Amino acid sequence: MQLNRMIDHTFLKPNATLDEYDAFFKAALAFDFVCVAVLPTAVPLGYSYLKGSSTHLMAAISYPRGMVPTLLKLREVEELMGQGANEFDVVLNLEAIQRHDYAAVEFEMVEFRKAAGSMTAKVILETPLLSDEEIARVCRIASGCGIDFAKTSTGFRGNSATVHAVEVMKRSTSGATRVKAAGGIGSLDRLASMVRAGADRIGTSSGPAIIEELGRRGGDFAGLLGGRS
Amino acid sequence: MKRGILLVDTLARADFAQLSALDFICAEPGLVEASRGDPRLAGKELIPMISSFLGSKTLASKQLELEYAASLGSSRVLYHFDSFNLRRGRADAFAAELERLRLWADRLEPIVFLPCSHFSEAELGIATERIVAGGLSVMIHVDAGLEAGGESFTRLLAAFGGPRAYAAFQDRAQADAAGPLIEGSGLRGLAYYG
Repeated sequence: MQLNRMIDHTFLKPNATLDEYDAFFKAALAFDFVCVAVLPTAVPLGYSYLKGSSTHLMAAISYPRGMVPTLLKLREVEELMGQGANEFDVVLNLEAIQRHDYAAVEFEMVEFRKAAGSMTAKVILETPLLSDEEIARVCRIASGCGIDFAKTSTGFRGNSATVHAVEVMKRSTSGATRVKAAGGIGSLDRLASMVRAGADRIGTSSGPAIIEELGRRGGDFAGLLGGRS
Repeated sequence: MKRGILLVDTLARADFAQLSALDFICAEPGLVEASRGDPRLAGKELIPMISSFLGSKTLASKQLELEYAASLGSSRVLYHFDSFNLRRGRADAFAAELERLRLWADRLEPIVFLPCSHFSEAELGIATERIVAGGLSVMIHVDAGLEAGGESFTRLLAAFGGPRAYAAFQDRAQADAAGPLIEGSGLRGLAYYG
């Protein structure tokens, strides 16, 4: 298990400067992260750095709240795919989930899966605002729709991943659907707790620091996990 | 001075007692659609937020959101522009985004959300100049570095003109505290995240 290939190196700062982006994308390449996560308007810039590399380019769709019609989200996916994005994290319609309108939630995921084609499709649940039952139900729908990852949270306004939420998601997903933990993961120990709970992908803006911390602590990520590999 | 909210919650979890005390509710377009006809919001103006809360959607996406907002019968929108253009010195791209927005002005009155803390003083000066030149209304986000009633805030307000300007605060407590300071400033409205 290579830690860098589990990390979505994340930078969702709307007022970033070009220098900050330059440092961000260069770090992504230097650490060979599996993916970078950026806001839609940064996709063309990201592509100029990452094309031809093994680091994927992820666009955050309808971030951070997700309350626009599905059709608008799909158009954005299609447009950004044309600009070089090859992973998509779509914020689901939280209102529909909380109203238990699961037909609408499923429709959104079915259409998103189609629009993403062979690209990696992730859906964001915003688990801090949901019950365990709601989380489990949405994860089962995601698996049924062939979504690649169910993701805990946006991190917006302090909405962070929890070990408990990741465990619920892991139990509720099946097939090819895996779990991504994101939001408030700023240290190696916190990251490891998420992986132990079942996360397969980690979204964090602290990727380089976490990798360096692992190096200082001996570099044995599998050993740190104490079993999961 | 009207009072409103930038709705962060969903309607399923919203505090309707709080909402009922307000004049306007700024919400994502999907929420505006879901709340139309809700008797608990009767008499409230529902203002779709375009590219909320970060402004970082593509221009094509923003265009679709504007069309959708118009189809809902809204008369005004709160528009979040892309801060990255100004941060990377692309004042021309910022101006072009505002110009595209201005084309909607005969159908939807755009209120431009101005996140002052995103910018240096020089960038904020460019943003102010272009928004004023476009004759657009503005919602000034009062957060770090900008004190309600303070010198910088007063200068911004003077640039825009009170009747074209709203102020937005991080939360209700800040809005309540600032209310008396800006009550006589001629602002059109005050809002907070909630």
